[in-house]
Amino acid sequence: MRTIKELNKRKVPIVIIDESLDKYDDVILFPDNLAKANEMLRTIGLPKDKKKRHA
Amino acid sequence: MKLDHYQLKSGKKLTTFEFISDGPKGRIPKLVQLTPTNYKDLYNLAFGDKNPETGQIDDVAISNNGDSEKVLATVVATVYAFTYQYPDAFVYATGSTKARTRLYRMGISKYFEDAKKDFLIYGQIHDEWEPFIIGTDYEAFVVKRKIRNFEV
Repeated sequence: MRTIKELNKRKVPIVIIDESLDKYDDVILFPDNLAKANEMLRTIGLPKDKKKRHA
Repeated sequence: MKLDHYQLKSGKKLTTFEFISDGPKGRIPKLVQLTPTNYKDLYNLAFGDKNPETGQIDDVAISNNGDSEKVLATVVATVYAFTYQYPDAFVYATGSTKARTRLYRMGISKYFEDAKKDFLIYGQIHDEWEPFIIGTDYEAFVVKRKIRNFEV
């Protein structure tokens, strides 16, 4: 049996689903950071070979 | 990539993660959120401290809890978990402060050799994107999974 420490070193981490966190699904916790990201992306876009269409 | 990180909790959508920083200054709850941007499949990653009494989020706090490497590893782990669930997603990250951006850069640099096997990694400098180079003072970052099913 693998130990908790070993399991926690998997490449894709084990994540405990906690439904109390679902309340954040429709809440932007970091609005200033998101606004900064959108502004920066509007200005310079994405890396040239990885551009995605605007939503 | 094998990272010693904190145990992660998440809501069912795997877009908001919570973990507890445990150090000399006590147990500090932290939240990581990946939020859709104005671009399709592009999500903004941000994280900060959660005040356990008020529930308010502070993304400029520097907790100095002596575990910054483990915190960084945990944030990186959220990117693995998120992109495992959403393999076509791009993840954008820039700090709320220059210090926080530097923290992101340190985190990517520390795990770059492993992470580049799994992700395309770009840094933004002087209003241009370029493939990430260790030691460059980037202002923002974009990562995208290379393969749809990396080893778990």
